[in-house]
Amino acid sequence: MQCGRPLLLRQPFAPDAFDQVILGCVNVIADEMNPARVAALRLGMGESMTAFTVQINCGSGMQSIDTAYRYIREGVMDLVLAGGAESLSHAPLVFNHSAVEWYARMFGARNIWARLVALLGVRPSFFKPVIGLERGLTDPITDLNMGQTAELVAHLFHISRRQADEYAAESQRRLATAQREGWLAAEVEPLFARDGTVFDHDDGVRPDSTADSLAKLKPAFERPWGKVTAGNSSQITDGASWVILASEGAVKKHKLQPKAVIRDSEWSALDPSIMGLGPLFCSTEILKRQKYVLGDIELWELNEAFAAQVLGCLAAWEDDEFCRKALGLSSAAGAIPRDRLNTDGGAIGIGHPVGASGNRIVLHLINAMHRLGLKRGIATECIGGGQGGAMLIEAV
Amino acid sequence: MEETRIPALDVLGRRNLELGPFVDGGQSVGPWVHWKLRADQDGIVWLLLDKKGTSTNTLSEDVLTELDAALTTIEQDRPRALVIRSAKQSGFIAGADINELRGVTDPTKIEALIARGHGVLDRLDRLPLPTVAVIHGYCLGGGLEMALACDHRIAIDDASFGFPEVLLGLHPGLGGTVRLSRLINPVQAMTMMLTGKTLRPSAAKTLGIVDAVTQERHVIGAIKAAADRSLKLHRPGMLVGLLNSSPARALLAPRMRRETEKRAPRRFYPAPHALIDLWAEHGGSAAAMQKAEISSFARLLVSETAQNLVRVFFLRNNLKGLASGTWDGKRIHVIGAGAMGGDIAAWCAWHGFTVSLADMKAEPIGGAIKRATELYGKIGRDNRRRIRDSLDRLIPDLRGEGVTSADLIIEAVPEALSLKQKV
Repeated sequence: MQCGRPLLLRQPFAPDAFDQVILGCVNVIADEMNPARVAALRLGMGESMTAFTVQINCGSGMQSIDTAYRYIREGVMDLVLAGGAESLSHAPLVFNHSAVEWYARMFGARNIWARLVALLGVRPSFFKPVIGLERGLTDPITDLNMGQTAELVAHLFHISRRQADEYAAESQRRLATAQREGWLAAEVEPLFARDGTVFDHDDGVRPDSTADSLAKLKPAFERPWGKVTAGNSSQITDGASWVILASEGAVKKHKLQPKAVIRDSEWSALDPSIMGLGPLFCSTEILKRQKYVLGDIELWELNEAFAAQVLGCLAAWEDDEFCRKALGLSSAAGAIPRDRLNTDGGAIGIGHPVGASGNRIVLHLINAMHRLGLKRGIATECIGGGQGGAMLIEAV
Repeated sequence: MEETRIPALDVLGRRNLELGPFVDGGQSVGPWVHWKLRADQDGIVWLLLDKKGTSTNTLSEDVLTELDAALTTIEQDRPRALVIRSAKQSGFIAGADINELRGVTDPTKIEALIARGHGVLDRLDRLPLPTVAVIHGYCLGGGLEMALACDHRIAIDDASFGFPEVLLGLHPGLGGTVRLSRLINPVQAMTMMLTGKTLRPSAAKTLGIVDAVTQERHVIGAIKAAADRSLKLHRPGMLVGLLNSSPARALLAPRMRRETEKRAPRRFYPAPHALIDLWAEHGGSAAAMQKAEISSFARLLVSETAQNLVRVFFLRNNLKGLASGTWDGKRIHVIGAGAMGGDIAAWCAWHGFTVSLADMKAEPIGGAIKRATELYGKIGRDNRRRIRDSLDRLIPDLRGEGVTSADLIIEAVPEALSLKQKV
């Protein structure tokens, strides 16, 4: 709601002008079994607005964009609101201070990753215990939780704890800079709680993180020798994000100013135990189809589920054997310069509201390309269960 | 452009085995054929067994001779720690090279050969630096004896441990009887050697045979912990000393003999009884027990029982060799869900085939599924994933539709001509 209202408010058309609402959401709560329809009604888009919810784990927010894109490309729709939202906590908890305090006492500050994510728009940041998520974040086929799959990727590509911590510290630094410089102003809306509290920025950021300070953390998933810690993983948060997709006809009709064009999209799947490598397959497929090489992509948003997993993807693209045999390339794809990847940080600092992230990285890629004067970018994410999604975007 | 892509995990699978300093094309600095030696960046020396000309490591005379030479180098260099592991995907060491034990008739020759092996493992045991055996896959017989001569044993979660010598009419002969009965509760040690049963890593950890159970991805971390002595070492408790004491042995040995006699009479199976004698007489002194182990092993090896069992072992292996032709089929169609058909189908599904189980009636198929569930519960124990996946692969087929996609069709209907003709 809190990010959808300002977005609709600034449009030159009425909220009921849309043809469809599509929302990505992983953990649908019992009170709102189709959150897309609930959001459409509460956003005042009218009783006749059809709306459905999509779920492909961490790719849900991008799946909503992709589905809208394909509807529009087919010519059956002109204007679609596509979003992603995640809130694993129960709504009453958010407003019930005694319950929140009870949770806080019970789990202790260190184990509660309660975050406000102020994204394109924001919804209330709910406190939630990590423990309740464990099952949802464990792959049923391999019995590995997501953190363990990152451990495996780190092992197979020789990513060290130090490298992961250094990546995480840099990500935090980049996010802090982006917040300070106001680079997120175009996509983060302040959130107003009913008690009047204003949340105007994402507070998961830790600009004082260094590789040395992160080195002190214990492994989160596989003790005692694991490399994946709470510090070099994405934070479990609540958040929401919306984007508007319009056909050429709708752009003309409503005199819209498009920010970007979707050129291509792709989904891929692989063994669930190495789900973190998902981005390699879908992104490479797009490159092949468009006859691009890795270097032709000017900016990348590769969702930071885990630092080790991002670094594993980068290492795999530089790995000749892997690129030839697993990706079907003639040789190693090459290196992505670090200043072209997750330029303003990512889920390690901002958080990873699983249903929303895919939407957010597409939006942020567009805004970052505008700021940097770049034209062509790919937003991609790994997906729990062993999948990957990617979207090729051109800034307008 | 035509392209063939290989599933990512198949490409990466070979990299899973953690080979430390040998990973990025690191070459051995030693001159040996079966062993590779190289130090990693932390000053820990890795000694890999990669027996030439075979896919499975076994302990042979030349493997031990080379190990002796490698230990000379290590004694001189005094690295921070020594890691011993297998470079084979198949596992650590499957046991002694039984080929070398065939047809020998002179016990003194065997004693001399075995004593040399004892010398090498004793030397490994005495190394004045932390020694770590990293164990994946099979760790049996002589392999386990070598591992027991190290300070630490780190098990990968696919490892299996055992002393199957008794099945060949023998008992451990490279110091295993001594080292195991002094490392863990000697009653459990004797049980393990008397039954020849293999243990999974969790059981080995509980008994105290291994210090840690982990995955390949944490081998480096486990080794570092062992090298700086922060890895909690299993230490034999007071009980071990107590149970190895003379009065305890006098009390326990007769019971062991009685139990063993029931299952394996001394007249036909001398090995388990020799093992009990060994412990009962010498369990109080490591040196005396080790000496006695050598002569007892030599006596057993030349005995008719052992030589016959060894021959049977080779015949069986030859048969396995004959049967090991590869078959690329994936789909099996079984007609008839009775006791035989249902169980064949369950067995095939357990071994990775997708099986359609056809019957005219639903009830027999239901019964077959029930029996399969019970069977998997027994043989799969806590392997929930394999049980689930096997049941997923066992497809009830009331209309016989699985026949068209099957690579192999098995007919298992009752022996009635009319029925057979119908099928």
